[in-house]
Amino acid sequence: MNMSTTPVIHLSGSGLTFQDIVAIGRGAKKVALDPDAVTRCRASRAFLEKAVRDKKIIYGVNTSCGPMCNKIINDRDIETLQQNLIISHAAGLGEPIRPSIARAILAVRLNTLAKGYSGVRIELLELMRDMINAGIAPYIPECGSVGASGDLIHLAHMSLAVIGRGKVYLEKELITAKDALTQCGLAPLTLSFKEGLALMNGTAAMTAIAAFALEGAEKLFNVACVNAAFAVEIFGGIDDAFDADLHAVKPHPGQIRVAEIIRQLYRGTGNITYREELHERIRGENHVDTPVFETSVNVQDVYSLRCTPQILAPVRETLDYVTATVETEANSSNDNPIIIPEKNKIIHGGNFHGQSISFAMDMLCIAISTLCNLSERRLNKLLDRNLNEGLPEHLIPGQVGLTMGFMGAQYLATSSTAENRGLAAPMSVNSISCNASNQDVVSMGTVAARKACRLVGNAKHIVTLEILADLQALSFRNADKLGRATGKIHAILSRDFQVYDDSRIFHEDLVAFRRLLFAGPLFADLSVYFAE
Amino acid sequence: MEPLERELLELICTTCNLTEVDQTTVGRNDPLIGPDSPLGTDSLDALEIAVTVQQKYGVRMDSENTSRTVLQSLITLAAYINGNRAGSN
Repeated sequence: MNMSTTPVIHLSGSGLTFQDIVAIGRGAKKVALDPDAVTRCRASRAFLEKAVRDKKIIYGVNTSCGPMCNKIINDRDIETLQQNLIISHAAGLGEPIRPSIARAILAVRLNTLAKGYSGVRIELLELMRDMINAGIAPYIPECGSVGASGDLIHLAHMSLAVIGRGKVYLEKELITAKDALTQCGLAPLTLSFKEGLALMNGTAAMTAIAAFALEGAEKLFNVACVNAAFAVEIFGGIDDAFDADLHAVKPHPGQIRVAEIIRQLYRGTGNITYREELHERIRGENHVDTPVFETSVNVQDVYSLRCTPQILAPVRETLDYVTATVETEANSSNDNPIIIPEKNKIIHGGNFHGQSISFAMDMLCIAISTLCNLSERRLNKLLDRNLNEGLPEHLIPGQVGLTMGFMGAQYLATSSTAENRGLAAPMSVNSISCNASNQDVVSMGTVAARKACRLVGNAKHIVTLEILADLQALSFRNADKLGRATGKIHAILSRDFQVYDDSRIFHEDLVAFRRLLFAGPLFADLSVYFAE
Repeated sequence: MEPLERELLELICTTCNLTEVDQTTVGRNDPLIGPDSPLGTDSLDALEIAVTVQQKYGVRMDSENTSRTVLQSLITLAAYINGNRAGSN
């Protein structure tokens, strides 16, 4: 990215948001070191250096690691220990993590080290900063870490790039780290004591992956609200279900918020059935004096419409919880030991343990899987002629039977919903003791974060198909009476939408719309559509 | 005004249906969005411009903050496109 137009984030170990992490990873933001953070880091390093000179025994500095921590290393070999740690633990396999996420991992690690309690040299922080700003992304295989002594395997692969070993991505090409550093005018670093451990021993990989999952989940939530509002308008839903007074008496914060968002989306609509009109409309249908008559007006909508605020309430609240957890982790000191010069302490503990992220990612999976359940049911209501209240079956615009409309595409939503239910099974409870029983309870947070990313990707398939179905349904009715915000969104999406009439390969429409919805700014913030 | 900047101004006017704007009065340093903009555009227009630019030039505009920085003027928008047209990995 051109530096002149690229915002810069000053990393200090505090205030880094999940959106920042994603933006840095994608190259949309550059990084700098906060001057106060540099001062803290110098103090922390000086304190550690004095402790080493004073022959203090410090884990991972002059001791070996894990279950070999009682083996004391001679001063002359303490730098070799750091290199050996990295090379031996760079033992992952599988598909490489996307370069944007790999760069975000580097950024999260830099931010946590910049907090100033890890005892690393400024040279290391500056090299990491320069690698990020040059667009270097370490080659990191996706499988390997248990997320307990941090993301050891992932971060060892990340650390290889710092010492000029292994491979990295630069300008989409996979080349040696040494060549990439040279091309960018940088030089690899020979790590000093503590630095290999400080790089590897933490939760940066799971946290960065979690930030990407969360960014996708936030957009999914916004699209799900829009899809809900479209559905209410397509089916002439009853406004009661979104009435503020209804939610005030069951005041889950997420429920109140979802109801408010949907009300704002359809405000000004001519498609909603209002309670006060309902009585007259129904009574008007009874022309014969019979004990019972059946009305064509739905007295109450099905749960997939009516209960949207209640179903999405915990989804919204989970996203808020996950945000807080990811951002706390991203702005924490999570290696071991922690050096706090102002307290005159070098403290050995377990801040590298990723249970918080693991839990949060499991909750995210449950939340987004629930969002998918709702989306899949609304889609089915649009396509099933027994449920869709007069729309063509499978939303077929032409000759039914000869053309198929959305009949084939629905399988994508059905199968992805099923897959996501499987992926919603928790990972954080899957602890397996390892490392000679030193790591006897592990978080599997790295696996949980990867799983959440996959689930979020599947969810994007489902809501993309649903919004295409909404637009197709609106091509038959009600588009002219949409609410103010739904109308604006419909107008923007309609520029890229064509009624599906079997003349195109459906996949191509899906690809184009998935990109439009999720790789752009349209659903980053719905409030832009609410303005008068 | 550079050719790309002129092209972008045309694109913005078309995207936002700014039929009454005299393009010859718009400077390359003028704000593209907000009350100080000679285009009279708002945040929804900004969104539409971002989507159109992303699709036409293949540059990612997904961060609201980045979009706002990039949409400061025709100069910043053109610089962003030139710097990112190949796309970052």
